Amino acid sequence: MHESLGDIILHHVTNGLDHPLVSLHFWGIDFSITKHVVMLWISAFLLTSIAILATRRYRKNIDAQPRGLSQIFEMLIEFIRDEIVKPNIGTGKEARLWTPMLTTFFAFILTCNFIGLIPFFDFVPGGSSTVTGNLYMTGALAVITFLAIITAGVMKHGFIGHWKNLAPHGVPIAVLPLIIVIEVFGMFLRPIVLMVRLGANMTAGHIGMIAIFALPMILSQLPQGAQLGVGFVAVLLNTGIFFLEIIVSLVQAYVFTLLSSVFIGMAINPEH
Amino acid sequence: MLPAVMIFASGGGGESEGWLGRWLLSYDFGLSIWSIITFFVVLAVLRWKAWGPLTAALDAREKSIKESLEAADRAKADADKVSQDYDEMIRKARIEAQEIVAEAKKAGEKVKNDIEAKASSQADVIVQQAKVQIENEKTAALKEIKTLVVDFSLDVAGKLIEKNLDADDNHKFVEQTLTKFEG
Repeated sequence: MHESLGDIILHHVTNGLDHPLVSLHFWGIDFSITKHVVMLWISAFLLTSIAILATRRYRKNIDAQPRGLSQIFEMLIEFIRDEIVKPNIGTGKEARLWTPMLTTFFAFILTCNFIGLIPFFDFVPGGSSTVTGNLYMTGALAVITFLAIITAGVMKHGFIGHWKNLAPHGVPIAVLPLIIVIEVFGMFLRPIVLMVRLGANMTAGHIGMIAIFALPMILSQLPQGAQLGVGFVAVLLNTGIFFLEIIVSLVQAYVFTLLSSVFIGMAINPEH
Repeated sequence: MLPAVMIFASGGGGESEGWLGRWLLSYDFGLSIWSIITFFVVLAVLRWKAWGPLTAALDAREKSIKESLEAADRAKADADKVSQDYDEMIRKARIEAQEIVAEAKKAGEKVKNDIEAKASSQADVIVQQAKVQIENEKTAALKEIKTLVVDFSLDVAGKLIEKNLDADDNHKFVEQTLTKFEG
């Protein structure tokens, strides 16, 4: 059996559409439970379990003091609220409305990124790949942001008011059509950029790591000792890249959350 | 790295459209819909069970900290006021004490002056009385001397003249003479 390196890499970074765990088809759409859906659900289950466990004490007693895991969740929600939501969207009612969603964005993307980094999931049926590296998953998150932008704008300025805000005030009539075209283009471009940035970043790291692990295979003409040496170097390199990937996971989750809140903020405060 | 790049680019071979194409273009809307459903389920559960109680706890803590700070500020303001009142009281007490001392001094001065004045007037009276008494004593003494002188003179005259004159006539005569002498 000959499998090219490209196929091996593909196997790791793409969804196993040809080998679904459970095949489901409704209304002409393939709803099959593929490995990315499994990863999605593992992430969702882990995140909700940990979050519910961590906030247990607050449900029992509103005056509970933070300890251990709950401290991390307090820091997380305070960070999202004070550093991302408040400066970009606004304080008070708006912060209260959008903080839970954006915190979920951050926590969910981060969990998916981290789960994708754990090689152990290779042993789970359909496992070992990063669902956030799939453009259809990041696209879905971007669609949620897209809808959130419109919802935020409509809630603040009314349905017509929101669309009027697409054209900034005080623009000469002559350039107005051009501005509208640009703004509408930008409106769709923003979620597309969100989708590609997260998906490409998460995929790139994995491709890089698998390619480095494949170095001995690529250099198969070398004598066996040299291949061992190359393999050792590959492991060292990948250990470094793994830590880099942890940072990339954090940064991409942060960037997605930050940009989503910036875009929502732009819909709420269009003049800024 | 060059061979790696070449192998990547060649992808899965002739029948597939290349790995990059498959990564970008494979049709996977099912995953998108699962992602949206999963995200909203996670959001709903977390909002209900995690973010909600957590935010409520944070808000409650923030509120209690704010209230504590305000209470502390109020207590400090009260303490400041009490301290100011106390200072004011001390200041007033000091002024009052000074006034009392000043009044006491003044009263003492007055008493002193009164006593001095009284003493001096009493002394005047005493001196006056002494003068009067001295005058009286002097008059009495002079009178006595006069009597003695008259008696002595009569004695001497009687003895000298050896003429037995009536004592009463002689006495009258000497007194008349002395009166003339005084006048």
